[in-house]
Amino acid sequence: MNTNESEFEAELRAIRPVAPTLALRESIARQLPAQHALATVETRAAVISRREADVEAPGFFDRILPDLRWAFAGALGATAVFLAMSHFQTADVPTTAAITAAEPDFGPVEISRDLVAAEDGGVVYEDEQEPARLVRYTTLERHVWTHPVTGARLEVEIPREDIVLVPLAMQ
Amino acid sequence: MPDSLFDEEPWRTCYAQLAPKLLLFARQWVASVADAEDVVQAAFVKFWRHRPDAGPEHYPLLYAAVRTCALDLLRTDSRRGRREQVVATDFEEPFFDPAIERNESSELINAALLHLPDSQREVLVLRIWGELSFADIATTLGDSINTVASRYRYALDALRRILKSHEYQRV
Repeated sequence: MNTNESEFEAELRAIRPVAPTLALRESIARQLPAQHALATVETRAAVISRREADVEAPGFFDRILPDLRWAFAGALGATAVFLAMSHFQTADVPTTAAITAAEPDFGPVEISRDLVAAEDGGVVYEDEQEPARLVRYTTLERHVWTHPVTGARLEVEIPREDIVLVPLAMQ
Repeated sequence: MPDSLFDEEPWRTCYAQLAPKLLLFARQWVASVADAEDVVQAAFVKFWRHRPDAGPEHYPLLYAAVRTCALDLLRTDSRRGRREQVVATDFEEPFFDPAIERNESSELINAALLHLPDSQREVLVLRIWGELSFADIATTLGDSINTVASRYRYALDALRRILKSHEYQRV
């Protein structure tokens, strides 16, 4: 052996460690690729299931909207009516703050009632009274407000059905 | 399945480069080749499952994993007590490849390594046959670079003295 350190190191490096058996490589190969293959299968399954879900399964809003569409429309109408009614009430009885501030508010511009349909309901006989003809009147009330400053316009339409009994003697 | 299909897998490249070095490193704690291969397999699989995209810059952690697995095996099997005896007499399974032109040297170095303290031998093995820098060895062993470098100098000097004494004995 040489006493020079670098030569001594080179001489040591020239001796190669024993290679492991083929069994070690095969054992590792069985474990690592199995994991990768399993992960690949799981990933592909997840992608496929996601794609199927995207294509076939309806979305959240798609599922609930058909059921809630009419409920939503009704709620919207009720809200509009409620706002209009509360506006009328507050307009009739203005608060102290409104009076002191004297801020301009929405004012009624138009109130109309249009006859939409009249349906003959036939002759009805009330107890101990003369016979009468039942008529159903379907009308549409329309209220319009505007804001004097901003010019904003608020319109509310309220469907209404009236049942009227017209004595036959009067016809 | 043909090997060529896996040639691009990082772990196979790593295995081809490091397997003999890892086995030699593992045998610093477990003398038998079978146990050392078990250690390398456990560490290698654990490492690549944890770091599937590992590159050469991460290989010091692989050596650290081998060391941890070897020490775990010693603890679980209570082999530490009988390890010295096994190492001292286990010449049937050499550390190095007994190539014809270097067979004599490899036997001498094999025997000389067994006389080094553990802390010096592991640094020498990582530096000479693992081809790691002092910084990487420090990362692997959890020591400072200065400590690692000084242990390496001591190991090199001690190995040289041992080999000289062996040569004198042979003469």
